[in-house]
Amino acid sequence: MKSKSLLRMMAALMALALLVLAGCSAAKPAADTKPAEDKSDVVVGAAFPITGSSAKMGQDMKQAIQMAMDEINAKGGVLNGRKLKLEVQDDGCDPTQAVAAANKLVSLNVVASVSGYCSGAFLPSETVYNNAKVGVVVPAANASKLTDQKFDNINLMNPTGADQAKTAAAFLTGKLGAKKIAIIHDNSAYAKELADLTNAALTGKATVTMDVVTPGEKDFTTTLTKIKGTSPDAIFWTGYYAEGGLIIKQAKGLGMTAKIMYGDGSNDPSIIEIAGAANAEGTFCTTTPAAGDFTAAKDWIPQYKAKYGEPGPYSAQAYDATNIIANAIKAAGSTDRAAVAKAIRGISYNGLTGAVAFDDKGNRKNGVFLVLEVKGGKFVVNQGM
Amino acid sequence: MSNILAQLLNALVIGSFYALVALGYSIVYGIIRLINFAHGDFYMIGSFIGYSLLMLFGKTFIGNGVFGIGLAMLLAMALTGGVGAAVERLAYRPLRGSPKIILLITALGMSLFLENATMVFKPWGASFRTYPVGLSRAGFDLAGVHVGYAPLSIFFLALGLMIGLNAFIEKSTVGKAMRATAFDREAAQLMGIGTDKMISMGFFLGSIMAGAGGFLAGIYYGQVSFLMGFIVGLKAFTASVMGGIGNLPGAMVGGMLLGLLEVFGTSTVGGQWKDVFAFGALILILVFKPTGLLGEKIARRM
Repeated sequence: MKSKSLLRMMAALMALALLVLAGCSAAKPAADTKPAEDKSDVVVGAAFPITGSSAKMGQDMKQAIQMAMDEINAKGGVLNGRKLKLEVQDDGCDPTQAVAAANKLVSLNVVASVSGYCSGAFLPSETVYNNAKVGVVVPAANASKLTDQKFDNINLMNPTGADQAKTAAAFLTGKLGAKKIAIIHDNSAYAKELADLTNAALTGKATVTMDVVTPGEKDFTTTLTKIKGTSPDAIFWTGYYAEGGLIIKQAKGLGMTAKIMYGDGSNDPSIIEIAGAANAEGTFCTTTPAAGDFTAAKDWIPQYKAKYGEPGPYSAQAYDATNIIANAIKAAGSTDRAAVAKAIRGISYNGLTGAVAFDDKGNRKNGVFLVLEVKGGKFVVNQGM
Repeated sequence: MSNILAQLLNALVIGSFYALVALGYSIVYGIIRLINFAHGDFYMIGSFIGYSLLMLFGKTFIGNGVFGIGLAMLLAMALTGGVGAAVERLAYRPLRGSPKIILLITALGMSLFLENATMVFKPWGASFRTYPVGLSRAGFDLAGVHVGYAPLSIFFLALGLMIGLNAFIEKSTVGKAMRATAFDREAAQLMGIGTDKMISMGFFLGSIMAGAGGFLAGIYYGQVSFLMGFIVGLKAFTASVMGGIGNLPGAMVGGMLLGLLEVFGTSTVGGQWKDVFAFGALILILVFKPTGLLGEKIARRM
């Protein structure tokens, strides 16, 4: 033991000596030259799927971020005229790829990042961002696991699955009056969590069956035929829109009359297109408010439309996230990652999605879920904010 | 009881798609002993070609009616066949004399190439595409189960194609030449058979079947994407191994069997165990019959 502590002391001494040395050599040039004003671009990262089945969502968010950056840069950028620059990495909605994307962003020296669409993919990359002290504002992903680790740099724009499960359970048993409910998920972190939380919220209020399908497949008639045998009043799909559309189509094809509801992973007009407008009519969707639901976004939507067409469900969040990062950089007064991350956590910002503030876990304060209904081939609000 | 009948019907459709794709694995394996991992992507390409054709026909006098759909299917099959033959010519033929492992890696690379090329190709792209026409839900009731004409016609179309292909290989001169090539390439060459042409033919025929499967899947499920060939390719490969790879009737039997196993697995133990169930059965079959159900005898390869 004694020799070990001696060793440690020596190491500490040597480190100290090195520091002093380094300090001396660094101090010398600083004394006679004034540091040049830094005019380089401030790099902000982004990682979400831009290929694969959720590619469209990534595209929507990328456009919104770019739009926000263009506006900020046109107004003079941040920190004495430095411009924001976007670096997008594809996380492919895949855990391995998301970690690689996060590492890549860190190596590109991003100051902060707008990352995370698929919760299951984003979850393992959180550690990478945390180790590098990169402040992240998450525009879409919202599994409650994401903030359970209490990282001080991960902040969610959207309310989490727990809030959504409560809304869904109340709507299913209340407005739809369902007594027997079939929940289907795809075993992804996000969908399974929403399914489990909804199941828990339904305990004592309805009989629940749980079924699992494989994402990427196209034929769900087997599972649906099995569910049909139990004649449920409602079906709740917690996965994403690609499979959701097919599930609606095939359920109607089997002549099922159960009401169909789905979570915000399926909140995309494509689900109506895939299911067929006639099949999707009268289905319900729990969702975080999208651009069109925010009163503050009224003037913003036409501007976005003029540039990129219809905004996606997370475009407004991505736009706000970018502005939050810009404000945090200004508040921190530097591009130091830790300082920016701290400023993001403490932000108080009034954006398209309303007042944004984060609690000590990084969850959005006062988040709400809406229920949409498909009417005339379009999503309309059934139960508002 | 009615539930079992409904599930059988589901199995027939799933099995038809697996079987159509499995045929391609078997033909190619039969002739050059290559597991063509890009084969699932031919199915995807067929689907996308069909999508583009139907979009095109919708704007012209041909229309999206029965005639338009039929013509689009035939063209999609032919064009996918062409893609298959081209892939063989460009990627596999230059490596004919190389070790097997190099061909295998090339096939994997080709699969990734086709997927990503489809993704960056503007009219197809990364997001899901929805077929402009769908099949109606019309049908008849049988013992309380709604039997749609669409799933039935898919099954019979697939069956017809498979029987046609089998007859072609068994009866025609070209088929005989292909079998000779599969049996002993050098000897076939000495007998004056253009073996390179026969290998191309194998790829062409296999891809035609995959193209037909892709087109039917597109019009039946209504949704196509550039990654759709991956899972189907994997399952179809399993089906062809189950039935005995290299053997055409085996591929059909294997496809149908895999469809049945998956459906049976889902309805008894639940969707999350479906693949465990199906692949468990595969392992059992291979333990007791390593060459697959209708496994090829040494003397016959196709």
